[in-house]
Amino acid sequence: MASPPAPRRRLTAAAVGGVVFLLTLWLAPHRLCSFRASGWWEGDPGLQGGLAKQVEASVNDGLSESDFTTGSKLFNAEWVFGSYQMAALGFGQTAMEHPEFRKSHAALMDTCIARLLSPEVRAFDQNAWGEDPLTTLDENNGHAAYLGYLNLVLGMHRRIKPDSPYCSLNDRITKALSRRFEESPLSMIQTYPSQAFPVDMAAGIGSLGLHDRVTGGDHGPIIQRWAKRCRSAWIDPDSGLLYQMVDSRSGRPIDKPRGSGTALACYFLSFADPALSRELFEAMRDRMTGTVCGFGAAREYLPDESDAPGDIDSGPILFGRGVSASGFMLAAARIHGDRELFESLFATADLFGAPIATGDRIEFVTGGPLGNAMLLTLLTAQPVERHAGRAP
Amino acid sequence: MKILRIAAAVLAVAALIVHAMMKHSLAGSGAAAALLAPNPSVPLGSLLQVGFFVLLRVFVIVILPGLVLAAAAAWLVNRRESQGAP
Repeated sequence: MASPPAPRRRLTAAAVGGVVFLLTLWLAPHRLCSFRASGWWEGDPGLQGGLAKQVEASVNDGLSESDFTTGSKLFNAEWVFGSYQMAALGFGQTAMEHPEFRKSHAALMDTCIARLLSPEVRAFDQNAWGEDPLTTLDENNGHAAYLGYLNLVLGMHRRIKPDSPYCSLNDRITKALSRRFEESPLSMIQTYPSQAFPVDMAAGIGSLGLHDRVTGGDHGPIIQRWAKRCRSAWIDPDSGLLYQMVDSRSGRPIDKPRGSGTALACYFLSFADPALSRELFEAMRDRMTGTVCGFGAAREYLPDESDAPGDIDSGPILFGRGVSASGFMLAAARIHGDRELFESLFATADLFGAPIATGDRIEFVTGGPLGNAMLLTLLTAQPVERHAGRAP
Repeated sequence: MKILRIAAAVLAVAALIVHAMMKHSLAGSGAAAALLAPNPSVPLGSLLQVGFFVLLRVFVIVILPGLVLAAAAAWLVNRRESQGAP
């Protein structure tokens, strides 16, 4: 049989090549990037321990504001605090999942807590309020940017080390936070003067729940009162998402419902109110997440607000998908048992995070100290059923 | 077709080498944290380095496999038809 003329051959070849290209794009890259997702989902101690080693190196080297370049002194200081806080939670979660890590990771948490309590690291909150958050526990200002986040770490430390030297401080902060929530007619505490963020309150509420699980205490009424207030005033009734910021006096929303705050609150609330955490997760999963060629991502804003700008909370936004919202949803997916979503989000984190293994360490190259500490916490977030019951 | 195949092969090898080099030069530098925040004071070098690295990685993982397989498939089809295979 004679061969077809050259133009027709080229056209056929181009058509076949195009189809093969699209098929490969659809089938291959996300599978390459989610190669290790199963290991992370199942809690592979080699992966968890490898990333923990990398975060350990950052913690031992010490972090300062000069390690970050957000362009804002306050945000640089918050990121130092956040790096130690996330590192400590990650060390705690990996110790909960793998008892062989318990001793060494409890010691690493000690290092993180010492840094979190140091005057220079807590100065960001002190400068904002004009008073120290720890010496004013009997006063009434919220200090939600510092106290709730710190108290979660102290509760986690106590969970893996029942004789933690920070038990007394954990009790005192818990008492101060619960009193402030209880005495507020709107069940809210401020992050900074005249600024209130539901996600920061969620961190405080989460720390009350974790304290209950560790000590057998009962802050249930305060948690339920806050959850009721949250459902009625701080969750958008149409989307089910959490408003990012509310008026510090009236409690009315003054920002949009957003992905980053909702997904992070979902993580914090898993320690205190799994049902509310689940509601936020389902709203995010159903309204805000999706895949492109198998790569998962979460929106920062609702689809009809896709031109809204990014900020320090959202991180960069690309085609409406936010870095922070997508990262925080990794934790939410693991907490609530959605393996498919976890693996698709991990593929994206792997593609842009570029993890490499060097010796016994695993580092997400583009993450920096904060990114690696956050990923340690988010990738090792504990399924909600593991929170049940008291500490060993 | 021949020149396209050679170009694709050279590009693939070059991309893989640069990708590996960038990975190791960036490891531990924390430079990529600059990408996470909108900040005009970030040194352009860091931003370019990280941006280039991320783009290159996306190209190597997302685009390159499809290009290579598509080129191979097109070449096979072209050869088969030019030889008059039934």
